[in-house]
Amino acid sequence: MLKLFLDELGQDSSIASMKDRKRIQKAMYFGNLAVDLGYRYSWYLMGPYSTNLTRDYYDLSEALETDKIDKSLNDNVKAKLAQIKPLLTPPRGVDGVDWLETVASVHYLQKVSRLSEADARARFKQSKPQLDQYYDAGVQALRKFKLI
Amino acid sequence: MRQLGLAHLVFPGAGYSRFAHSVGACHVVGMMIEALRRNTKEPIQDEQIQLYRLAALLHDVGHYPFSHALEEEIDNHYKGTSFLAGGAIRNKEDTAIDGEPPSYNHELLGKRIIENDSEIATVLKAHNVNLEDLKAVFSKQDPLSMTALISSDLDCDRLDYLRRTAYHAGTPYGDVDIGYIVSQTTLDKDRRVCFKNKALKAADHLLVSRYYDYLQLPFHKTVVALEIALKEVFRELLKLGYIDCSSDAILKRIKESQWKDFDDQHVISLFRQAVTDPKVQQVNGLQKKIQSILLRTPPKLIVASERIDDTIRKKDHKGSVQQLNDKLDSWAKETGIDRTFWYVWQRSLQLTKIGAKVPFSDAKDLGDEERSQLVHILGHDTQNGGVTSTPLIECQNTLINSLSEKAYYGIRLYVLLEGSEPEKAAKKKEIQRIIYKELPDFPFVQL
Repeated sequence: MLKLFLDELGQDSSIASMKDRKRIQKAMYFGNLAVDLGYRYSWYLMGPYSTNLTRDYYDLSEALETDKIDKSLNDNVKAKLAQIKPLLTPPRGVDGVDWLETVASVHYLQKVSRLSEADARARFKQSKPQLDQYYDAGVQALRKFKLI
Repeated sequence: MRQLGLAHLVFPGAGYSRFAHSVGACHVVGMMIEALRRNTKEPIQDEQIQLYRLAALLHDVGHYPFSHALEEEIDNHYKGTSFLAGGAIRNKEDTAIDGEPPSYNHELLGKRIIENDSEIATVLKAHNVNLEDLKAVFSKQDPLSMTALISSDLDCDRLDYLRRTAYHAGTPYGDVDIGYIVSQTTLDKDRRVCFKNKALKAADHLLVSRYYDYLQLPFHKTVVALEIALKEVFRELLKLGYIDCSSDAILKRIKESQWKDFDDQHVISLFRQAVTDPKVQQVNGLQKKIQSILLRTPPKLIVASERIDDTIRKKDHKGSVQQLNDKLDSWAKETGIDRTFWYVWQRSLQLTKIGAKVPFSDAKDLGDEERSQLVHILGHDTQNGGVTSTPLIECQNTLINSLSEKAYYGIRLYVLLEGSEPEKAAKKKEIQRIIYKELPDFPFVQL
């Protein structure tokens, strides 16, 4: 199921590097928002993270070595994922994974941790100073998709 | 509900309840935070300790009866029918923030129980515990929470489980120095939960013990056989609609105070009903599989291969598994035993992952969130001030570090046989003869 979701979101299933795994975590944060697979995220030291998703993509990585995927998602699910997919595309000049981390973290702090905008901004700046330059663009994008 | 599922059918003393384990986890987390307070002068309020104790007490409240066997089948069934082409379309527009997936994993289910169970609400209210504060700790959603105390590779859950299982099962593998490890709980400069360097050997011993505990208990040949039968039965009963474990049905149970009735006994009663149900009898082999659990006559282990080897030998292992799988149809035909009763079980796990909550066996190239799940040992003062911690599996002076390039490879063939024990023994020998003749070079072990 995870592989089908990642394919539909235009995300490679490779987990070879830390950056790959971070990409999958943050992309699936939004995939799961669109179509609830049951993953729930917690705020670890540096951002929203799902331990269940981690177990699943390691299992997927093992399974892909031998198993063939012969199933497909239904049209309803595909349509919902198609709606969220554009959010995952970074603005020009922004690294894709940095973008995903930004928008996922902003959304999490405001909607899940239910921090005020000011507190969310402060928390974001404290834990991710290197991404603070993208904060406002992230907020704009999330508003455009009516996620905050 | 039993913590260890059907393991008591093999280890008669291993029937302790999830309740006992939960009380233990509650006690352990309280001790960990007290130790943390002592070791760091961290200003943790008594109310905060109580929240963590409550979260630990409730940490397993969302487990289904027979736990992981049922949860895995529920997950496959409901996601398959809801999301895959050809399944029923789920028209709910819920989001993952406020809504419901097709089915719950035990963590989300636990959260729903805390939110909706009236008895829990009454107790919390009587003791002035704010539900939202409890949820924030339980769900690890508080950005400042000490998440690792409740969920990491050396959390209150693991610390209670190993000793309790060793005691009740009568196996010595989990007899680890919990008291000392707990007393060394502390925080590093990044507020990461870790253990003082003095606890290194005890923590190392615990992680190695975990491997032995798993090999002896969850991977025990008969425990595995029972679990195989259990999963097959759940799979078919879910397909038949005999059990409804959709999130809608489960949420209804919770709100109607019926979740506590959905326990091991309820499932066994369902099995007893199902075994005489004409609908069940129409599904090939299902009746026999249910009976194999009710009468403790699980599939028999026919042949096995087991070794500890380098992690790079994984491809050999997969090749061997495929070799067995490719032969099952012909062996079923030759022996006259229906193909539905043949099972290949396989595990290839790095030794540092066995029994681990986290899928990482080493700390190379891990992100901060991933690293935070590993057991950390407090290190030395940095030049910038403050003390950092290091993942235990990176410490050169530990056994677990030296085992990180080794894996356990296990392959077993089980067959559900019929007849008396002497008849089964004879049939087993017949099947073994066929297999050994056809696969003379397969790395089987002596059973």
